[in-house]
Amino acid sequence: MVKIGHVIPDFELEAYQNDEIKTLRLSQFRGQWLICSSTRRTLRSSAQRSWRRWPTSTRSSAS
Amino acid sequence: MADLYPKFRELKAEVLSVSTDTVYVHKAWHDTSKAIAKIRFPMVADPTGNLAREFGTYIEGVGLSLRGTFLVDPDGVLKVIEIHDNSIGRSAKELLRKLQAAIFVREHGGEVCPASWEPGKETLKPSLDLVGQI
Repeated sequence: MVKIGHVIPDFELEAYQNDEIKTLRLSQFRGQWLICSSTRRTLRSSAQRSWRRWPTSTRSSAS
Repeated sequence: MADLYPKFRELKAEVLSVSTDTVYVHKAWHDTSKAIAKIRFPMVADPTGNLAREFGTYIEGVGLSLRGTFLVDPDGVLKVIEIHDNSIGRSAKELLRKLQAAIFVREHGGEVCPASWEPGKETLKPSLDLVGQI
């Protein structure tokens, strides 16, 4: 588990930004300050309604 | 955080939000929530919970993460950890202050920022002279 004063581990992860899906690594942010903010966010009813309007082919390829 | 994001960028910091939701759920949130639609920084997906476990925020058996903030310097070294119960919100304004303090300390070796320090206020130089004086 991460500790103060230690280098954080590198992870490769998907991210959503400006209507694009991209892959990023934590190590790519070396050279600048980085803030990782974890949230609890889950799919709530309003977002679920939006999800159901997506074409089914998009949803099946997403899973 | 979304509203203060430009201030973090002025200090050459990047912000990543992370949750156990997939990128598709992030898009759904972005499309349906006025608050989330303001976000311009990357919204990272951690559906396996591996990142959350490494950072100590994963809630086993539930599959969600606690609210955690981790400030990392340009060398990849962790400088600040803040973890809240999910019922207690954080303050982006306070985080900005912490970033300003971390940047100052990095740029002014030997000086430290005391409690509630803000830019322009006095700092401290740890020495034997300070013993019993604070």
